[in-house]
Formats: sequence, structure tokens, C-alpha cells
Amino acid sequence: MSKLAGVKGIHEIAIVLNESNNMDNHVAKQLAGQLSLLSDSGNRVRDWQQVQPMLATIISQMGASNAVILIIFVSAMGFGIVNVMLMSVFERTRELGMLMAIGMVKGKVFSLIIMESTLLGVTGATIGLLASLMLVTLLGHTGIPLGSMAQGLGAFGVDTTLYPTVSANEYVAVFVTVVLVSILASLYPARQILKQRPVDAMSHKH
Amino acid sequence: MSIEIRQLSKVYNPESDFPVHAVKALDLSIKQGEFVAVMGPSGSGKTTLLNMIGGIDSPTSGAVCIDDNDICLLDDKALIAFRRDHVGFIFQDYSLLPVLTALENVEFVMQLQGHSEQVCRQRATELLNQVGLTDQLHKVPAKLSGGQQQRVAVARALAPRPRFVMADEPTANLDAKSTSELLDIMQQLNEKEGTTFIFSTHDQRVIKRAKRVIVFDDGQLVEDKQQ
Repeated sequence: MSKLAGVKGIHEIAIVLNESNNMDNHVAKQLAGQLSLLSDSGNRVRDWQQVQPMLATIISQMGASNAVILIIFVSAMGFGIVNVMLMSVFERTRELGMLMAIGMVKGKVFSLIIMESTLLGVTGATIGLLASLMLVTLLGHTGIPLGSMAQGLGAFGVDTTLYPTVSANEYVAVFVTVVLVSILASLYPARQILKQRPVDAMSHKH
Repeated sequence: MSIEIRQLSKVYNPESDFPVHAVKALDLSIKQGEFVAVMGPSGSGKTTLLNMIGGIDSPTSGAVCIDDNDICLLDDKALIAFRRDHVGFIFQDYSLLPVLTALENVEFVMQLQGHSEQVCRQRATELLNQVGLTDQLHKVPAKLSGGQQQRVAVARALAPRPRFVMADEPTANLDAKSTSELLDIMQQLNEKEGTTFIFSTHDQRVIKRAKRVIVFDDGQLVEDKQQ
């Protein structure tokens, strides 16, 4: 190696810090500063972000891109839930009209719709999150091999197998979002049905 | 409790170029305990009339007076209370709640009135026994035949001890045997409990059994005869 490079002695020392997840790189910068003062003027002390600026940029943008992807997924999920809720309430227009006809007060019909939507949301969210938990746990053990992409990513020091993790906070956020969207989505059809006279609701065809 | 209908009219799409006059300036009187069949061809306004008497539809003009109180002037809340406490509905398609058993369907209307669970259970069982469904109490509507479902609907209509039962073509989906049995049940209840029954029908089997027949055509009363 020395012959090939034409240099003698040590030409690079890599220091691995425990705070490898610290994107602020505060400790590394502090250490680099101290080492610069101690070492000869010909030596350069650089943190990993200076060594791999492209990777540093990719990682720093990852949060933003993850957020965008999450917004797209949550929006798609929201529209799906709205669709299910509209269907589940509107397809029961006749039944709800009958309830009003036989003397159920509108407040109770409204509560019934909201309660059913909440239960539907809670049930859906629970089943979805349990399925997700199982899948993430399984993939957390087996990992997701990146295949042909791995070689390119390997050059940046990224592991060639991904091990997905979802935090408890993210599960809670998704659960709350699903239930809230379910309730909000049922407000419009509930209002539309309650505005009708029982005879009109009962003559509804679906 | 009598029903007085004064100059009752119903116009669908009044603002359009082709308004439909379903009921035209109708005057009619029905006394407590009558067994009335309103007959006429399809589109003659029978169902509209029943819906207005039952308070689930509102007239364009005129009055439906129950013991001199015009129900058309009631606010939404009072009208719901009127329907709940005084009117029983039997719909052509039965309109039972599919997730509830026969017993629960009948109990449900009494629960709306605020009766205790025990009272609801006792009366619902009694009524379902009366309509011959003793062995079918815990079956959901999907497990019952059309005739049995219509019997549950009759029991449900009678459960809150209404003054009037509005039956919109109650035998339209029933065979001859079921129709005869259903009419027997309703006639017995009419005689025993004094409940007023008003049917819209063009079924001759029902018309033959009615004590009074009102013939309706093009939104107008054509004939009113006692049998």
C-alpha cells in the first residue's frame, strides 16, 4: 500500500464516535477543532460530513423527503377513509330515514352515525396497525435486501440490507389520524341525511 | 282520537314546469278504531296521503288535525314525538333493522319511548306471540320469510300502543296464505285494542276485509263506502 501510494507512515486516522446518529455533528466538530490545534500544520482534520458531503446532504434531506412521502400516504389514506365513510353512511340512508320515521330524534340518529364511524375507524386503525406491527417486526429481523441498488448505496456507507423501524409515536399519530378522519368524514353525510324528511330519506335508492 | 283532513294538497316540484299534484284539496274524516282501506291505481296519491297523515311528509297546503291539533304546524321535535307515541308504520318493504333480531326490532321502538328493558321485553314477546312468531323471536330478518318479516313489522308498529297504524301496501310482497293470516292478525288487534288501521292498497283481498273503503284516483277522493 505504501509502495503503491508512494507515501510512508500513517496517512489517515479515522475516529469512530459513539454519537453516530448525531446529525449536528457537534462532538465531531469539537474534536476536529481540538485535534487541529494539537496536530502539525500539514495535517487536516475533517469530520465525516466534509469527507462525504454528498452523503451528508442526502441524509440531511431525508427528513424532509420522508415528510413529503408521509403526507402523500396519509392523504391517500384519508381519501380512502372518506370514501368508505361516505359509502357506509349513505348506503344506510333508507334505514336511517326509517329510524326517524318511527320516532328516533335527530340528535340520536346523529350520535348513532358518529359512534358507528368512530368504531369503524378504531377497528380499522387497530387491525391496520397490528398488521403493520407484525410486518415491521418481521422485516426488522429479516431485513429488506436492496438488491442491485445495494452496490451504489454501499459506496456511501449505507447498509445493503434495510431494517425498518416504526416508533410508538408514529403508531399513535396514525391511529389518531385514522379515527379523526373517520369521524370528520361522517359529519357531511350525517348532516345531509338529517336535513331530509323521513319520507325522502326512505325513498333514497342506492 | 280522530283524524280530520281539511283541504289537504300535495304538489311535487311546484316550481317546475310540470308540477305533480299528488293530492288535491282533500277533505276526509277517520274515526278512532276504523279499519280503512285506501285503494286506487299506482300513482293515485295513496302513499302520499298516508305519509302526510303519519307525519313523515308535509303537505303543500291544508291541515291534518288529530283531535283538532294540526300536526302540520308542529315543529320537528314535536312531530317526531307524535310519530313515536301515536303512529305505527308498516312499510311495504318491512324496513326492519337487519342486525337486530325479531324481538329486538319490536323492543327498539318501545326503547325510544323510554320504557324499561323488562317492559319492552314483555310486550315485544307478547306481540310476537300474537302474530304467531313464538319460535322466531331470536332470528334476524334475513332468516325469516317475507310473511314472517311483515308480521314482525306489524308487531313493531303496534308495540308503542299507537292510536293509528299506517300500512303502505302491507300485502304487496305476500302470498295468499300470508296475506290472509296477516289480515286476521290486524283485524283481531283492531277489534281487541281499538287501534285505527289505514291501508293503502290495490289488493282485492285486503279491500274485501276492510270495514271502510276509500277510493282514490288522481289525488282525489272518488268514493267513500262502508262495508
